[in-house]
Amino acid sequence: MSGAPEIESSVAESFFELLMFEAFRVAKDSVSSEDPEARAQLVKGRIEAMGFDVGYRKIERSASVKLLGRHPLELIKFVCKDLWLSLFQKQADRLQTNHRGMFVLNDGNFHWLKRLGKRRDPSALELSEHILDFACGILRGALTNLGIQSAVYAEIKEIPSCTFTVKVK
Amino acid sequence: MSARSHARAGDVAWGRMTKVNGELFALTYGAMVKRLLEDHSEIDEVNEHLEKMGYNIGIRLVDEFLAKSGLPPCSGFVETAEVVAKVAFRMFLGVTADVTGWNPEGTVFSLLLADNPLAEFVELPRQYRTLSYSNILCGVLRGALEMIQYRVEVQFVRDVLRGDDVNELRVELKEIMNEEMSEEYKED
Repeated sequence: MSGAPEIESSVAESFFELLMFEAFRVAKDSVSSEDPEARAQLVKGRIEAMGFDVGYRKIERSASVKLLGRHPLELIKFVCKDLWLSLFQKQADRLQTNHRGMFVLNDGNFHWLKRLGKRRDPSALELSEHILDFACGILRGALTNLGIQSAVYAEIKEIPSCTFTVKVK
Repeated sequence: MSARSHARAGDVAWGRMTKVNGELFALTYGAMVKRLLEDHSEIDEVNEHLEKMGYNIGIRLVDEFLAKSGLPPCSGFVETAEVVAKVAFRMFLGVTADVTGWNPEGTVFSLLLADNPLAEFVELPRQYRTLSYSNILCGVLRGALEMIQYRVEVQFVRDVLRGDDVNELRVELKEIMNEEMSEEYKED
């Protein structure tokens, strides 16, 4: 297999992170529900939807995607390796599947959670949820553009270790 | 410092920065702008929101700039402009800008940006032709310069997304904020 390497532009991570946090703020700003639980769900949905846009379009421009087959396992492996590396500076650590449409991706040192360091105060925990909601959206968007409809959710085991569960519909 | 050494300093500083994928950056920005357009009925509100957002970012980025640029303090507004264009833009966006269009008083200049990492692969639909898509950059500059005592106003006067051949940010110095204010900049 040959092909020109994709020339990747880059920007400073600090700028990206600050931008991401402003995006979270946008998601929170226009939610007007009074009830805290309803609010949280709406914000979650908005952040996930932003992630979806990112993931969907990221795949659109990935040349190596065109070389993939159609089997869900192959596509999810691609996500674990190529997409993860491109977005999170490393590949996902582990992929498990029950071969019945459920996949669990494990990342023991999820890049975007690392910046929380040892902080466990309420706003740090809230931020970690936003970060994972955004990441779940990215994964769901990427998979959708690869032809896989799914539900994606994340669980933090212990910052910065987390799992992403993909349930193929 | 000469122009060449500013450019070199920019490359060196860029080398020190932790980087992320440029597409991720551009796509995240795009997703956010899309939401803002959905949330606001007036495009001017979106422009303003982007600028304020940029301000929040700029006031925070400046610390990292001062820590990692490795440069001595600038000798004045003119050198500051060069450092912004050749070092700061390079460090945070990976691209450099050109400084041009100085007014005789040395208080207004333009930054020309050939490549805009925020707008990679973006096309503006006609209904958004008054959107200043990358307005966040104006805020970033305003916030960062304020932290080094320059109160400025920044406008995106030419935008490739709106059909111009180059991106141009016009920076206008309004006030130098320090105790001994010179006569020219005193507010009345």
